[in-house]
Amino acid sequence: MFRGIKEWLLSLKNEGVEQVPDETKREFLKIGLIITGVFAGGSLFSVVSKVAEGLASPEELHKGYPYKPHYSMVFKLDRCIDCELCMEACRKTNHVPDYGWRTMILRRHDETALDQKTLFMPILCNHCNNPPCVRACPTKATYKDKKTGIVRMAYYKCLGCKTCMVACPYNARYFNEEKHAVDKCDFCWESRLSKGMTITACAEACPAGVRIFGDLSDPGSEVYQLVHQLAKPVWVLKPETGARPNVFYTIS
Amino acid sequence: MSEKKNPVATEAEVTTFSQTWLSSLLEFLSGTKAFYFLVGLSALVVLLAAMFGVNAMHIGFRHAYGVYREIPWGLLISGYVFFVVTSTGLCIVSSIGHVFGVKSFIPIAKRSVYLSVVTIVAGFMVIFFDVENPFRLPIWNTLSPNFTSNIWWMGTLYGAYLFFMTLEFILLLLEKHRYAMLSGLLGLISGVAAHSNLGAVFGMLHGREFWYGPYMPIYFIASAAASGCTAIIFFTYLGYKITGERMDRAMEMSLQAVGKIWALFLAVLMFFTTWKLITGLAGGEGKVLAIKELLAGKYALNFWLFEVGFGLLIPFFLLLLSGFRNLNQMFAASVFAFIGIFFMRVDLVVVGQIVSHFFEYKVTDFPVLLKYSPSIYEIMVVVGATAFCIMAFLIGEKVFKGHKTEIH
Amino acid sequence: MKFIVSRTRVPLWSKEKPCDEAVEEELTPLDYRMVPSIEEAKKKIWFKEWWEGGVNHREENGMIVCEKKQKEKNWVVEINTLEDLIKFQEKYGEIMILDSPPYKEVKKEIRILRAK
Repeated sequence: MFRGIKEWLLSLKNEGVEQVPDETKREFLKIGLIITGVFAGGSLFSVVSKVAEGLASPEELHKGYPYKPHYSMVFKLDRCIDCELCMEACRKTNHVPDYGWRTMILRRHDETALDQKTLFMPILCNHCNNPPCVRACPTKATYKDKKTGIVRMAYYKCLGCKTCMVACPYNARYFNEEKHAVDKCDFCWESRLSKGMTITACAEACPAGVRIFGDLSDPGSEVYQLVHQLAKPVWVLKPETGARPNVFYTIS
Repeated sequence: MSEKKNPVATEAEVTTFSQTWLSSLLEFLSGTKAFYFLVGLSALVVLLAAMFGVNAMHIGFRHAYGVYREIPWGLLISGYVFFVVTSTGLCIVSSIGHVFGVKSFIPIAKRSVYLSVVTIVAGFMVIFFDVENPFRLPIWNTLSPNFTSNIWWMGTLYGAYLFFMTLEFILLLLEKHRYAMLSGLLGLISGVAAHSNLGAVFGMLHGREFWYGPYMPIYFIASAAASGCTAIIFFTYLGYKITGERMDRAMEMSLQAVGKIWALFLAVLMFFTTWKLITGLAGGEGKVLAIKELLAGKYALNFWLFEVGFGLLIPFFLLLLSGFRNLNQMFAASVFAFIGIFFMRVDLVVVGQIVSHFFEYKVTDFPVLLKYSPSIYEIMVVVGATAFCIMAFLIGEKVFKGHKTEIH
Repeated sequence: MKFIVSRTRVPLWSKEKPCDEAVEEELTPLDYRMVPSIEEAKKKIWFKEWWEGGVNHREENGMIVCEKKQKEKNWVVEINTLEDLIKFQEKYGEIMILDSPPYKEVKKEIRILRAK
């Protein structure tokens, strides 16, 4: 029996890739890169495990989301053209000084990439479910809003020890001199959401539909539909820190 | 031995002791003019540093200091760590005598307790100019405590530590040794707890690979013990130079014992540092980048010359060379170690932050490795705190007459 | 010959004597300073204190010394023969004989290794 297998193995011929057209090779490689996540920009898992990681524990996922509304943002990364209208809107709405930022667009550049060499990656506070900054703050000046899950600031309590800035894996915090406190994105809670508006200034300003903001616990919302599907990859930044962010990235 | 001869050392020993270059170099310390000149000079430096600090507060730390959004902790946090490590170490090592009652450690007790108060105050002075809203600290630390925060525990426990150590020193002065011992025990417990929490401030940041893990709190305690021995030998030696007293046998034996503990903890630190590097190089990409920068990059001089050379190897070999008998060599070891330890703290704090947040995404907005260089304001605040320690030490020697401990 | 007597662990919580034979005595501490002459000591920061705090100032072995006015209490035993010393050791276990801190009356210290 083993002899049969051995003979069969030896009889196998190398089909080679010489005959495969270049176009096919490139497509195949691209799929591979997407699957391994190299292309998308980081480690990548199946969507279900990704959602489970991004949110609380899997059991909690089945029971529902820990917050109601569970505010979240999904980026359709390939649509971003770095027009920076979001940053502009954020500055105006939240009075962000010129030395700081609450949201930013990073430029990723790789000469070895097979297709486009540059990709724009907007970032903001990930409003993590296990926020390192909230754990580290000595005075609860930064806290996880019990209702919405937004990581907010009680500016008057801030000592300015900057531990939260060191703790944040996403560089989402800066010291605001005018407020005498650390400042950060609050999904426009103070400037818009608490006043009845339903969308952040940056999401509203984006002309390309990159930023999709909504309630992740509402099956009817766009963010829910973007995250709960298998066809397109969805990922979060730096999952290895265990912060369980609520900001997701995908492609359109 | 004739009655006339001094009972402790022979004449020859005394002459060699007093005639070595180090001793003659330091002899001027006890001269009235030189002493007051040094006190005045250090007071002046403290004043100058305070002016720098207040000015920095006025114009805003963002303009005055070299720290920025991506590297929010710089020289001042390093300086703070340096002073509180020294303070905790002084408390830990000297507690063998003044808390646990081991006779041979008692001669170093009073000076150590005094200096641990001085150095923790110096640490608080540095942190005062680092925290943006220091006046909010006592209010919100009390009204809105976050029990999951290591910073909260560290701050609160160090507050308790300062109280107990001050109380212990006062009780020692009043010769109420039993209550002093109790206060010292509470000080030791709060000091060790506070200090391991300071380690955990770094070790529990799960977004920072370089620090994350149980290593930091353990390392901090071992490091404190080594720093404490350094400080005891350094200041006791200088103290005797100032008062001109002849060191009696009990004190000599005390310092020898401290020297042995020091050598042990230096070995422990060498072991820790080695494994920190080896495990780091097998770790995640961010950690590897930081460790490589420490070993062969911009921080290589800091690391190899100051941290490893001055901080670990030179003192270790000087100690072995001294046979734990030659106090001049032990003092020289402590001078090297003090310089080395400061750089150790800088490396620890800064290198943990130099790897850019999004380097793995090939982001062009930030370099992979960030740069930090301290501003003159930051340097002056740390220099000021150092000058404060020198001044308080000198005044302490004069006022408390060489910190004689009388416990029988 | 008089010895100061002590134990390796100081019983901070009791004021018991370190051994049965010990008697508390007031001793005169000698204040040695590492300066060759009194003339030179006058320039030093501690001179006034040293001068006023003691009596019988003199130069000795390249150092200066005086007897402090402030006496110190210490536990002292008197052992005069080698036989007595051996007896003492047999009673209390291992002992060390050290140079005591400098006193006028006492030069040596017996330290009992066993904790009380």
